Amino acid sequence: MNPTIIEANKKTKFLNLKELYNYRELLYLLTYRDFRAKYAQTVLGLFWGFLKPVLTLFVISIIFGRVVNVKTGSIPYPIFALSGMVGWSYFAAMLGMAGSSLIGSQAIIKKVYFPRLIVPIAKVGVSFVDYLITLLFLFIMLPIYGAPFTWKLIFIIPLTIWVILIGTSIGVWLSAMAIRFRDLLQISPIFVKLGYYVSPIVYPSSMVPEAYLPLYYINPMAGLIDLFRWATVGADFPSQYVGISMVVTLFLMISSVWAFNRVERKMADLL
Amino acid sequence: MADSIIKVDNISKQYKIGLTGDVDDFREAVSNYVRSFFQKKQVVQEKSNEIWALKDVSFDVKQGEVMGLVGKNGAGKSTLLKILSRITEPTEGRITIKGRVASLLEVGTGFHPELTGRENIFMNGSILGMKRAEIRAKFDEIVGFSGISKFIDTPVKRYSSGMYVRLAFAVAAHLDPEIMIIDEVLAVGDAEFQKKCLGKMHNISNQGGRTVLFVSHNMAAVNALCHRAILLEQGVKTFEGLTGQVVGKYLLTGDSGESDRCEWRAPEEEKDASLYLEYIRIKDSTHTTRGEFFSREEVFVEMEVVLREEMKDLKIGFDVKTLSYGMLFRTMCTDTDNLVDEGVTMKPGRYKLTAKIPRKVLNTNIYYITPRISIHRKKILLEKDYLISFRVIFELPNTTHLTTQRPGIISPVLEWHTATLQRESL
Repeated sequence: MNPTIIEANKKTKFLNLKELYNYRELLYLLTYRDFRAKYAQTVLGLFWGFLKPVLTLFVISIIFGRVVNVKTGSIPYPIFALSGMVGWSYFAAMLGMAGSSLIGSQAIIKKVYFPRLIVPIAKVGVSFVDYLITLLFLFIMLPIYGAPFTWKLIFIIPLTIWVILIGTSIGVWLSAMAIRFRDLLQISPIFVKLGYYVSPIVYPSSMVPEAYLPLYYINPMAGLIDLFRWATVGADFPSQYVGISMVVTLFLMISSVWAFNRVERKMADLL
Repeated sequence: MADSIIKVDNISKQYKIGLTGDVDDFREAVSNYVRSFFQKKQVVQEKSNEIWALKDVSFDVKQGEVMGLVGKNGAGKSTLLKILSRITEPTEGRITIKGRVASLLEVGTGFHPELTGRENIFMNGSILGMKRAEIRAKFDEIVGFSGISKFIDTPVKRYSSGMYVRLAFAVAAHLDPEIMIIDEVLAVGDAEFQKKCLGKMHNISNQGGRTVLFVSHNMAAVNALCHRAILLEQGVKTFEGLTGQVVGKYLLTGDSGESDRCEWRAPEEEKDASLYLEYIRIKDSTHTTRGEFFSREEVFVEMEVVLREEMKDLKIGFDVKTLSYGMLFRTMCTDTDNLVDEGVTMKPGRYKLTAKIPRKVLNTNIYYITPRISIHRKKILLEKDYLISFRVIFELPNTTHLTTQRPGIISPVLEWHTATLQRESL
């Protein structure tokens, strides 16, 4: 076996996937722990995962569907909005939890060695169940509003992977920065709220003037939601500027690992 | 195959003290960041708000060796362990480790209150580096060792602190790595459990091949478990050698944490009384005030008493007590003259009374002195319970290495004579 070398200013691998794989059991356990902690001593437990999107959809449909009367073409408003909410709530949950994850786990970070990237990544698993529940809700609503089940639904799988990548990258970024600048944890919920409106959740992106579309799709969730909508409720395939969302995601992925690496070495000292 | 398993080469660690994360730090962070683009290596700056927790520490640990790491609080022991466990990076230097390391820096790392004991065993075991299959295989053993099998499926938040610690240690005790780094974790639990843990640690270190680096304030444990040891003082390695020698050196440096308790001086308010205790302290045969002794040494208790008026029937002395066994004995200054049932008459003045506790009698323990001054059978003038203390480490004469703690309240070294009554013809 190769000897372990500990050195000052050591050059480390950019992304040590092999090591992450070796620690997969820990990743699973951290997820399990968060999951159990979340639902410990609750009576309704998983049922909350169901209640939340139902109530939100109800309110959104009335306000934006009827009162504000957003036009969504041939797609009934409730499933239009729901198809946007599914991806967004998963993203928001991942981001919310990942941001403070390192700070929250400082006890074990200061006492044990393990690849620290596992900590924010573990937040993917905890909210995945809620995501599945909301997705199930969507599948129930589709036939109710007469939307057919098409072959395009298979795209949900790559799209799920995409939303995980977006949520994790930004989450990793946030967790790395938040160690030094805790204000970010106060600021990020505000940005998430604003992001909700900058994304085509309660309104279609067709309402955005063409000239602004490239700018609009810099928000990677915009591209994701539009594609998701196309795959599930039969919306039109979005404009080619969706590609910008994908490029931005790639950039976020690489830069988040870079930012994390920079902080990882000093993490135990800074926390 | 006595190869170096752990090779530490000039390790240094610098820390910034004071606030971090404020505006100055941000500006500094940005300017450092910009500067780092123009420099290959990060420049280490000497500034007044930075300290060296470790400086140029080097040593080797051979395979199968149990190395002790001693030093008073703040010497840098935990920092060194953190660097060896890859939790924090060294500022300078290099370490080479050949083999899988398991670090036990804290008992119960990763325990979550909402999870049951069973779930926490898997959680903690995994954090410490055990694979799921390994934990499953050792599960019954772990539960057995902890002694809390009845509560294994209750959330840990319902456990008493003793149960918590027993479970946490049980998991840690079943780690099976090639190299183990242990920090002070024996300082938990009640006396009986501690004995169990020491026993288990002994097994771990004896069963061949395992290399251990052990930090503790419990000199008896270090003496019992370690082959060699290192002494750290203020971040620098000052001594290295056989455990007995290093422990001896550590105790004699006088500031091993017990020294502040081996002496007491009267505060001004007490000096108004017609009789008072000016000071009481523990000394060795060279008249040095000390708090720790080997059992081969004589321990002197010195009291200075001031009288402002003549007193009759005085009894001046002290009780020796321990936490584990209660009171050991009472001694009075009149014992020497066989005046068991009488006190002395003393005229006004300042007196120094010295008692000698004989060598080769006391066992490994912490001994508390309760000075007592009374008028024989009439009233107690002064009794200060657990006022000062001193530590003794039992060790047999003429050995410098491994000693085990003897069972028993005292451990007198007696003289034995063997007389051959009959020789067997073969």
